[in-house]
Amino acid sequence: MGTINNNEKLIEIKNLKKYFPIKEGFFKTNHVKAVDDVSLFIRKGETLGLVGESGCGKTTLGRTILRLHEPTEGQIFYDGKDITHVDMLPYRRKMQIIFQDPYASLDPRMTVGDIIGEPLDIHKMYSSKEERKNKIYKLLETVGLNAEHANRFPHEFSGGQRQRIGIARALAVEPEFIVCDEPISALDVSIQAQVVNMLEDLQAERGFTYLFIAHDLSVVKHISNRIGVMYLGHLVELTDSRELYKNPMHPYTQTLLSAIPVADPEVSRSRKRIVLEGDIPSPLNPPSGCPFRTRCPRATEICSQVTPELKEYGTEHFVACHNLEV
Amino acid sequence: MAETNNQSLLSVNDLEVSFFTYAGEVKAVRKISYDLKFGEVMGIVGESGSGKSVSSFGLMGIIPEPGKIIGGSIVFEGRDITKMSEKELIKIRGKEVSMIFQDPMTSLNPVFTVGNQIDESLRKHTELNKEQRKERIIELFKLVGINQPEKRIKQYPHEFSGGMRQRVMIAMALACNPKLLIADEPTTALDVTIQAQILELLKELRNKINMSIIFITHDLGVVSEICDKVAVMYAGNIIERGSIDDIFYNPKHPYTWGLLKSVPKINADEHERLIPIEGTPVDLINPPQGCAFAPRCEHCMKICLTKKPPVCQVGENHEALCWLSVKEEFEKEASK
Repeated sequence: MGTINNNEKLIEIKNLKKYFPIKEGFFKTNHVKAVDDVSLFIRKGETLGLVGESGCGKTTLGRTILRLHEPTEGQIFYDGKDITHVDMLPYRRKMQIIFQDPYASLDPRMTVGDIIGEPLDIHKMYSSKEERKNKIYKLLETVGLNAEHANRFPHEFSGGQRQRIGIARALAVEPEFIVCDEPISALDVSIQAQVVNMLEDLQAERGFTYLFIAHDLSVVKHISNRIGVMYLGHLVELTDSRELYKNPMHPYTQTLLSAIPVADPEVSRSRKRIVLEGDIPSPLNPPSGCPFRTRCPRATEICSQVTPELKEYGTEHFVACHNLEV
Repeated sequence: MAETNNQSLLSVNDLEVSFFTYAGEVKAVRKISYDLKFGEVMGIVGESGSGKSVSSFGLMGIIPEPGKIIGGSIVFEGRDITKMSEKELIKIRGKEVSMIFQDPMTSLNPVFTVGNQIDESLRKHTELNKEQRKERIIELFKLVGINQPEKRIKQYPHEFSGGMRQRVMIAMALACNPKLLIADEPTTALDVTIQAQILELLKELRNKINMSIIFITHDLGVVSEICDKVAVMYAGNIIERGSIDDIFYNPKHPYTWGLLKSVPKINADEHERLIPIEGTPVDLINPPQGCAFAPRCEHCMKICLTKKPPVCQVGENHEALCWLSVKEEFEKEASK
């Protein structure tokens, strides 16, 4: 969990939208509304968690913030500056990403040294070959590998080690903001904790700001200061991580929380879980009004007509729902 | 909880499975034993490569090439599966023992309707005529909670979502009323809300038709939801087994301790640092001489590096494969 020194916002997005065009026939084009009108901010040194089921747009949101996808509409601010339409090269040094799949995100033909060295080359961050080499060795040590690994190829490493290489590559340019896109979901349980601890240590040491995307809620709660819950491209709830678990207000958050299996037989036996009917609707053809209304136990007339907006209840607890039990 | 009578449905004794690869013999399963009673749900947990899937493939006689069962026995209702011919195995597969797989996207055939695919095992294993079979399939769809079964049985797998496909897989597995269902990570590829639906369904089915389930997973949360007892696997060995209360509240093996401590608690109020298990799993081509977990174990003693620990009874129906338990027992004896 990050420590926030002041209230300065590092990242802010306003009404961000990302639609992907889908060709349906020669003239007709439809749109997948992967991210639909999302606004949020991330403070300096904070970890913002983003949870939701597959297809809810959490990864797209993370990538759009980095402008790996060009936003369809809306604005992105970095440290107060609008970066929605600027040249990203200077900002790439400050904003980095760790990818989900450590098997697919490393070039199998490059040595580990070159993988980590590439960002250094692009941003010309060394004056001699010697310095480049030393920087790579230092990065490897930072992530718990050693200098001799620099000459090896990715296939010689296990999943956990590869994820460390991916992290070293992100750290190479000394960024301020890192998008962690499901960095641990491809790893074994005993290895997950190693990577989570490392991310936390790095943050404590260097004051990183994280956007932590995952579908494993217990890990997100562990690492995040605040958590945003997404459903079908919309942000439905956003609040402090402890508050979210103690007092979930949106009916979707409530179901999501009750669906997590708890590794404690006593708790599993005694608790009552809310089981949702049906599946997530297709983002090609989302329901009118509130996206969750087709599966929502509390849905009423108004839900199909008006899309609820995020409103603040209590301190910094934002919920988008018409029928809250307050 | 469903009624379990004390009769044993399945007992696995000293099962050994090896894969003969170019790099050498990979000892994927190294002498494991367990038994399962009627109506019982047993979880097998472990990391990838711990042998949890391979050990259960053995129960169906479907260990992929170049793997072989090289020792031990699997006794299912008094008959040894390892000694059966392919012909005899075919009669058991899908009828008495059936299986659901991790990935519902790839385990259905895309060019046949789902109805047709379920029909296949009914044609093979039952005497029902066409009409009766159709009725049975519709009944199965209702059982697993698929709406409009008459319409859905004529559809192809791509017309189903992930959760629905997993329900089709379960319907297919249940077609001939198996006595044992092997569920190999059935919810890993699914979202949490869909996972909750499938777990509820399996629990309900188990109470309704009283079958035994072997539930393979790496998620301790899922185990605590659905299982009666658990076997924890590491590097091809069952390092600890017992009831879920034994494993969660009174674990005896350092690896089990590690597993339980390395997952964050969702209901924790304070931010607690996770305690990971350091190091990485062992290479099964050259498993270490002593305990396979010794290189990662904080309680490692001299003997752990040289001798494989024996199975130690640490409670009623609770076993651990660890020298610490042996030591504890020895000290207890000595103090008497």
